[in-house]
Amino acid sequence: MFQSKEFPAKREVLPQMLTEITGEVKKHFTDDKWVNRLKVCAEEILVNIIDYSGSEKIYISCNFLEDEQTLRFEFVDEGALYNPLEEVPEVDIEAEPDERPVGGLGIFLYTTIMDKLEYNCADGKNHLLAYKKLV
Amino acid sequence: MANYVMEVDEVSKVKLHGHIDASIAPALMEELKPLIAQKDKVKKLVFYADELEYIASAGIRAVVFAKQKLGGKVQVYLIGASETVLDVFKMTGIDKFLTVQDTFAE
Repeated sequence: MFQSKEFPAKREVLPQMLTEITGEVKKHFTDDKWVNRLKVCAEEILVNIIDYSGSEKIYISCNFLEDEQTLRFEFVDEGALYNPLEEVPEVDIEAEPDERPVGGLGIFLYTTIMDKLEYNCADGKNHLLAYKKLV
Repeated sequence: MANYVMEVDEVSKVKLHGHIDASIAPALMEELKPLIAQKDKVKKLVFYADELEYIASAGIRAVVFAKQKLGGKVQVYLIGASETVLDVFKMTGIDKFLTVQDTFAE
């Protein structure tokens, strides 16, 4: 578990952030499929912050809830206040390729994979919380 | 080292390896454009994924982009993908319009 680990909000630091998160996930998830899924979620969330928030730093925490069965990731940035959960685009996974919009796959993936997501704005910072129960 | 190798022909081949994440995928999409420009020549597009360790949504988008631009007549294959890679394709429903095989068989 780690608390509020600070990283520069830069693409080149993304592998380091993902290594940190995946390292923690591997301690608690034995199924490679779930390790990979949570890595995909983390990447989608982090890329959005890096590319669009304007924040210079990202703070990442990873903790268990009191039930000790639910992992909680918190992503904090100091960029423009924005709730990514406000408008989650609908993705029709049955749609033909021609009917598919270019965007929206990333947020579709992390909202599908995680059990719960929460956004709040505190101290002028964006806080995105992502929860996943151990499987 | 690039995370893909491309060969344009009637059966066009794209070999993916390592990580196709948000950093790599835009370049892959750019590289797919000359292949798409020759779409009258291309009958099949084969993505070899046996050495692909990880794909993010940006990589999936590149595959969708190719399929959209090449049109319905071009069959798109995904070959040798690991369970974890295939899992991401399945979650987005993209696997439904790909021919998924362990080894390429026309």
